[in-house]
Amino acid sequence: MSWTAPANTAVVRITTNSGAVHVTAEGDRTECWSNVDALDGSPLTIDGGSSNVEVRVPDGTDLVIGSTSGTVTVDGRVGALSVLTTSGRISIDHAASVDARSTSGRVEVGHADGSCRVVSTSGRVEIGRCGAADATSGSGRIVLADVHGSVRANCTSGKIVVGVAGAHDVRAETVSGRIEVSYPAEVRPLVTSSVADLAATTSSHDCTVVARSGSGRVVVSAR
Amino acid sequence: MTSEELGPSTDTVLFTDLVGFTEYNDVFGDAAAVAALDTQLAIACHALTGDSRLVKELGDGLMFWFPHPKAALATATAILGAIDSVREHDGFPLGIRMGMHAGAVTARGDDVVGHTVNVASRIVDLAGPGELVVSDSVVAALEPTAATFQPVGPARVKGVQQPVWLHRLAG
Repeated sequence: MSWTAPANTAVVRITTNSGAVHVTAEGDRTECWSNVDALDGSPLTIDGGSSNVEVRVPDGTDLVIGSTSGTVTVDGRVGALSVLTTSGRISIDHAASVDARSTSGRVEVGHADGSCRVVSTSGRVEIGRCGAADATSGSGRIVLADVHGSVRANCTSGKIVVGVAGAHDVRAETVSGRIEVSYPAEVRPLVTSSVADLAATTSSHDCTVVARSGSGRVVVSAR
Repeated sequence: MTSEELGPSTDTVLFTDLVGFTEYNDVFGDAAAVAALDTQLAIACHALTGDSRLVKELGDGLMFWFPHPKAALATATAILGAIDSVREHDGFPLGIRMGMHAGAVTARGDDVVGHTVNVASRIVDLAGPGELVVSDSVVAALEPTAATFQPVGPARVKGVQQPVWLHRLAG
């Protein structure tokens, strides 16, 4: 079943209760397709109820997705993407920007051209390449592999690993876990455990790392 | 403006939560935990205005009632700003997250209960540190110029047939 997204919006909304959501962005596609009927109205809304939802959209389509317990998988390159699940795993291939939240599921983002915000109450967070990153996890580790912007990472009881691509500021906090931040060899970060210390420093640096761990080590290294 | 002109109830419930409080208490002990709670409470009480009310403390969280989302937004942004400030300048150890929903509530003594309260309590779980997440009903009741919100997605709340569409306060 194919539908053209209304002209006044490029956003497609997808909701499901307990079913899984699988979205595929295709470069040669001009209309949206789904295995379930779209609801009338704007923006285009697809509600799967308790069924699995399979959706195909044009490359670059903005999406807002919500699910209670099903996994959410997005393949291909989509536009601005927001995903919210209660307990399902979230897996995103490539998006212009990402806002992904899960109460208990793992969140994986391969590539976000712009900012990437992830909130997971108890699941692991893994982000590949992205612009600015803002990641929160309650009890799972946070891995931000290749960040091309500022970083905020907040973990309650897990390790934080950040690979920064350039002279970008990092704030990383965990109550009980190790923090590892790596920069290219030519970048000289100023490392401190408190923002207040930054005002007092006169040393020359390219960017700042504010890292606090209640019971783990903080390691900032060159690569 | 009369209540008739306001349309649906504009009662607004706000929940806050200190992110990682339990683990912080484990690592740093009761005295440090109590100090964090005292700081949060002092900031919250200072941010309240008019008829707005702190309903109760819930462990490391707070529950507020407001007569309108406008008052709730003002208090929430004041608390966010104050917590940011003490984190930066005074080493306050924990971030705060918030969830807000508007709709009818029922008074029960000094407490307020009902569907609106239940939904607001679920919304806070989906916010990150330093973030306010609100429902569609809050955004709809505010002037478009009151604040900028970004879509977060549809949350499924137990016992609610239709998804609750959520937004985060940008900035």
